[in-house]
Amino acid sequence: MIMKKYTIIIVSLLIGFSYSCDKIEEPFKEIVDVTPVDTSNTTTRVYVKRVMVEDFTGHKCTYCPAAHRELDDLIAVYGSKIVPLTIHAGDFTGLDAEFITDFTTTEGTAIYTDFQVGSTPKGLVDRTIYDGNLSLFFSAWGAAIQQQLADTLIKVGVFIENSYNDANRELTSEISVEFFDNYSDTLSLAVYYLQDSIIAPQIDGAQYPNDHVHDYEHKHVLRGSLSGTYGEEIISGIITKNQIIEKTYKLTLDSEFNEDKCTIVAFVLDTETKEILNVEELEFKH
Amino acid sequence: MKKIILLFTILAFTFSSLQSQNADLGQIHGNFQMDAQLYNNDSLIGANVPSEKMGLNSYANFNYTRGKFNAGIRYEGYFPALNGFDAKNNGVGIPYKYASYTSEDLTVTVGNFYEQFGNGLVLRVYEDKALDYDYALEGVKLNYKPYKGVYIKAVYGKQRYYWNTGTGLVRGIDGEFAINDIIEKLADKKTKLTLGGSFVSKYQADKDPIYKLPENVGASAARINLYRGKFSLTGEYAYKINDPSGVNDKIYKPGEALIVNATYSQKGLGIYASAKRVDNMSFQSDRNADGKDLNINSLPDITKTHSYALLAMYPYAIQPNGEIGFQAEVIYKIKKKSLLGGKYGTTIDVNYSRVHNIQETQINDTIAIGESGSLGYNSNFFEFSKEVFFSDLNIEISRKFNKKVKATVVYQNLVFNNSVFNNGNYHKTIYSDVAIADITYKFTSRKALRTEMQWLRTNQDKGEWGMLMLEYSMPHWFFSVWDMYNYGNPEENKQVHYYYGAVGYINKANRIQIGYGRQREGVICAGGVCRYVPASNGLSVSITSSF
Repeated sequence: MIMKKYTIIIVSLLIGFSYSCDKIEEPFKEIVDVTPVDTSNTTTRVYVKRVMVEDFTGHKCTYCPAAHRELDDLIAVYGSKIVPLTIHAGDFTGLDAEFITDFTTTEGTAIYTDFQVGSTPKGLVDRTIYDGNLSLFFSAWGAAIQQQLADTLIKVGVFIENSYNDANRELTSEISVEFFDNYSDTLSLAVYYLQDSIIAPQIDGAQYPNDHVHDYEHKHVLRGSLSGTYGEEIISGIITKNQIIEKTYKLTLDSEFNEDKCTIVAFVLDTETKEILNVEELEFKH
Repeated sequence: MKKIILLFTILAFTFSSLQSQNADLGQIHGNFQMDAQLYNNDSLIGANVPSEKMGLNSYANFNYTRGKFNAGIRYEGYFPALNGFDAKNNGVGIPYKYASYTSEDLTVTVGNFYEQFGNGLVLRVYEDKALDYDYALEGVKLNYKPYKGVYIKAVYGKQRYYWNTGTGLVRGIDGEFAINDIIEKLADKKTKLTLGGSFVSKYQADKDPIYKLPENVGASAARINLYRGKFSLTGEYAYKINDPSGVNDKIYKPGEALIVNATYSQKGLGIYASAKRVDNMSFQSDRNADGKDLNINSLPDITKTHSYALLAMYPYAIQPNGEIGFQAEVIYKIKKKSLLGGKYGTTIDVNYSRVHNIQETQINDTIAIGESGSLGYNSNFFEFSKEVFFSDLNIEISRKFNKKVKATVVYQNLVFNNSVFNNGNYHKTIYSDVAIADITYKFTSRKALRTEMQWLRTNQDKGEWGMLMLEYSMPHWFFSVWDMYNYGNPEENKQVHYYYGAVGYINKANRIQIGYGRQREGVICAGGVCRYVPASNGLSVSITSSF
């Protein structure tokens, strides 16, 4: 009798499990409706909640281009609501006779180490936790972005005004941070600069197993900061609604960098957790 | 939870102390392992010093058994984890705890456990601390033997993810049927047949904004084990439904795996052959996990795992997205007191393995091979791609010349596709030859000097290497020194000596080893599963103990 009972339990489990399969039919992609962010509580400037995606990569990382493609797909859906940064860090960034461009930065290496990224391709989405993890494999970026955009109420907005002097290659970047709620917090402002569309070699095992790509387009590459890795503290304690904080940063651009492809990324982060509250991007020559 | 662990620990130690007074209270067994390293900066080999200056990994298991009841815990502490181990390990705690009992033909286990179904193609949750893997399930496991020759296993739980559990749920059931035990008239037959089948399903919510992801993904497998006298033939085939993930770049192609092993053995001769095909068979309880995390299954290795340092310079790592290959090995012992065999006999071991990518073609003109959000590619089951991942021909000859001298010589010819294995020093394909002589001279029955001479030739990667090792062993102690010299490195300033010295003391179940020197950057693998090891320079201490 006991035997029969056990057998019934086991057979029930087997039948139960056998239904545990979801076969997906084509098309495999959803049609995503990205509704505009509610900006009604802003003042004169238009502020949007954007999400910063830091894609840790390396030019000798064979799986990293798959992450770049994922990021392209997400940008195709979310547009400028995503501010992408490609950060070269980790084991696959070494130089040799073929891979001559050093894409690494002090800031990128510090973030890679401090956030225990550990391997590439991995990413941080607003430096916030998704499904228990800070450092996310690229397949989780979409869901994490969705999580960040779910809250449409903007607590803080960032506005950038750039002026670039061609003669001395000096950039002046004026950043305004505006708060839209009364609350208490300690926040910092960080300002990075990126270079887009750099043509250089890249290993891409998934798409080009027989040779590395000689003319790969490296996008959104982090080149450095104007504020230090985690920026400077701009407010601590009580924050008042409609309060505005303005900061000015200057940079003399290295002659090897193409100023037409450079952008400023400015973001407000929680000083303690480093979580990003909002981010904005603007070309040097806007 | 902490209170439960504390209570459990107190109980375990109480039983232990009572045991000395009363043998009926059961038994406690356990073991301890500690690996510590004090790091030096060494810019020549790229060795870095962490902020803490040193790292320490430590583990201890305590298992209590009384009659049909078992319980145990494992302590783990990383202060911080040694270089090359994931920093997510950092911390201390008791991540593994279990209790189990057997009643009649049913064994119930709750808490953490490991398990394997068949060859592991659909489920193998295991741990290997040296490789930084622990896939333990936390939940319930049932082992049931309803009839003679019938064995049922069922598991239900979540997998360990460092100090937490992963997001996905794992459910699995396996049945094994020993036909000769089930059918009485076959009991005495020379041919023994065992059949088995498994089904494993994982659940993870779909939160992806772009892709329609399957929340429940099932994988099933069927296997056969056939033995007759000196022959054995075993095989398993597994199939997995659509499982788009980070590892397969979100393709919806079903996965497949096939492994076949055949052996023949008689006195003085052993022949082993195996073949394997894997197509999109990564199976993880979190589709967004890193390739090394939260693996539910394990795809068996069909290449030889080498222990000599230069033979293991370019180890094979299993490619779950696709690989096809075979291995054959013949071990022949030439008779003692024959012309070729000498007074004590000579053993010859010839092993060859070869692994290619699977052949892949486009589904149609508009979809690239492996494109995310598609069925990926078409692939003929038995067709090899021209892309060679790995090929290893190795010949090992061992001979005892007299009571004092024995020697082993090894030759290896290797082809290693570095763009696939991605070990950090990109060169498309590495071709190498390795020669080794290992000579042991016994001064007395318990005192011996072993000498290893190794040489690796290649025109790729870091060029040629030479290595000399001397190891003296005596009762309770061993002393070893070696120098691994990368004299052929194309960059002259990297033609580095990796010198190392170690002293070990062994007393019954306790072993202490202290070493000092340089260790090269590389990859260590066991069974095709690998871990990157950064270069290091410094003092290392290793202690193992058991009771």
